[in-house]
Amino acid sequence: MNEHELEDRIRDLFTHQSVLLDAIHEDRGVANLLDGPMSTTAENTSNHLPAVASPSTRPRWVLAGATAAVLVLVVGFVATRPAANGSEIGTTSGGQGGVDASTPWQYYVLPGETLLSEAPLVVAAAPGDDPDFDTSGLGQRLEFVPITDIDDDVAALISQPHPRGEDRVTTKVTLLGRVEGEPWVLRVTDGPEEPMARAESDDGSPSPSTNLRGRYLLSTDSGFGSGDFALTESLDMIAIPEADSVPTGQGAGLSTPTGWVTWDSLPSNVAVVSFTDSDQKWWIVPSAGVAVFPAQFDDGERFTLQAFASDGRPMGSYGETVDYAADARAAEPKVGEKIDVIGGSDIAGNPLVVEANGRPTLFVYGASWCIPCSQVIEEALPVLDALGDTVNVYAVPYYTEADDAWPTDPEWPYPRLWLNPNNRLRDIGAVPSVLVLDGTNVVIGVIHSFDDLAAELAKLGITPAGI
Amino acid sequence: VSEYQARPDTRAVTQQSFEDFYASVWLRSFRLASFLTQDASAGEEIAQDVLLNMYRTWGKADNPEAYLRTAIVNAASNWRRRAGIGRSKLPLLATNHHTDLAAEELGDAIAALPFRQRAVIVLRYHADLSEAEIAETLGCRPGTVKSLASRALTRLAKEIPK
Repeated sequence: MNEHELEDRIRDLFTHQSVLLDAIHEDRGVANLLDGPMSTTAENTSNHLPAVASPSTRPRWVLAGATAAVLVLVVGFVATRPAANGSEIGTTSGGQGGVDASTPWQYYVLPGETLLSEAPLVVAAAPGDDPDFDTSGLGQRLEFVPITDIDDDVAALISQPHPRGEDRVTTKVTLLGRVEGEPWVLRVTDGPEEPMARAESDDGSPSPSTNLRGRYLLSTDSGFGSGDFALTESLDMIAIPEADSVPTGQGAGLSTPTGWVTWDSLPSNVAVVSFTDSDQKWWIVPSAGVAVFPAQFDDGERFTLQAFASDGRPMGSYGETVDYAADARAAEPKVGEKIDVIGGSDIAGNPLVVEANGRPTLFVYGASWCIPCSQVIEEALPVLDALGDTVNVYAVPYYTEADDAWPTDPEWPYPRLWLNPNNRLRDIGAVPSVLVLDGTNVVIGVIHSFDDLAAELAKLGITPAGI
Repeated sequence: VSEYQARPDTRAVTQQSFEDFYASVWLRSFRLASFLTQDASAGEEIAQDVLLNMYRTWGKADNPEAYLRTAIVNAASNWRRRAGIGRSKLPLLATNHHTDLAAEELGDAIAALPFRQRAVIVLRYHADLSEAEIAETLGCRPGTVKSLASRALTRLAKEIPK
């Protein structure tokens, strides 16, 4: 490419973006400048934009019906693109927690957001040469229909940050369509702040559930693209499959002793959960079928997970009544059990095999998303330090991805062990935990309580030298 | 004549009311600041701050348009993303004829330029200013503008797909 071509492309890009910037930004009246923070009102909205309703009367909209297939297309596209690390991601399809082309999709906007469209959208064409892109939805019209009122509790919840904090991925999607008729604007905003919640993925794959927050806009009032558009954005969006009920099924729970629960096998259309006999609800973004939320159960306590759709509709109960403790901990390594092979990899990805060396070995389990785990580490470090080289210590990140370098504390002096997926020691029932083997790799205890780690270890006969 | 270029009759400009001035410059101030910071929210804040300051001292600047331009560039240069907030990209509209990804690559590459290189690119190709005007805005010599532009274009050419 010569310099002139490059210059033309730069000019084109600026022109494109100027159109969008102009359109997303109302022509502010001077009164607003002098009155302090700017507000968006119909009075100071420029002529080419549809008037934005006042916050109290802002409609919430759902992109439903025929629209649904489009979002499936979008998800399909994302799911078949090569992952950032170069490996191919399988298409998300069917099954619990998955979506396929027959799944109707619901597109909704969270409270406080506005989604406006002045003209119908039609699915146009797939971008690029992606051979896997499903073009069956081409020509379908997209329509916006209002969503029903959302439950106050749920509305309050979904305005909160997801409990996993910032540890998440924003999914990049491409929206496709064609504008018919008059210039139009699709605008989704919850104000000038950064999105509060994002889609996440535990296995690195794009999530079928993405969280629509922030400001996005499609506009064609300058005629770019001859009415067709493909908007590639790091969309924070939630596209949740519409369903009359959430499939009932058995979930596998993993609780931390200090109050966090990981729930596997959640369908992707669950947005909010609560537990039987509890007024509390939690906003979740299931990803790869896994959700994490704050809850604590005693051993043997039984509960049913209640699921709600993204618009707050109760979706029935999910998960048959589960004996949590039995499910989560029955499979743990038992005291007296000999662990034959303890293999995995170290932080550099090199094979790491833990051989019995005559000294007890402590496996400290945790995960970077597990808030109590970092607290436990702070308490455990002095205890482990006092034990010195009378024991072997390994940190075991619960997730097997090497990028979860738990503990994240740079002061952590012991090796990290990513266990092989099928290793017996992966069957630990909770994080944080400490699994203790004797000098011959026989299990002598599993510690789930960290109120006094030194005392718990002492019960197993492990005390600092000289004490 | 670019809409960003100073109007020749500066007296006429200074005699106009601030409200008229504001109405005529708001949108492009917002755009310019957004391009310089590669962030529409920051662009809005910067344009708002700069214009508010100009309102308070209205009538003092001989050439309000040039003053506005320089003030926006300086404010954008001083702007730092709040800690912990992820990068928010400028919106991108493209056709479906394969240009979406290419435009995105180019947008990313421009966003990744050092500020002064990006400023030259924005002022030259978006604001359509001359080298002399860019030099005045950035407070440097025209030769520096030329060298910044050359380095920026070389870098962009390397980083975007052919």
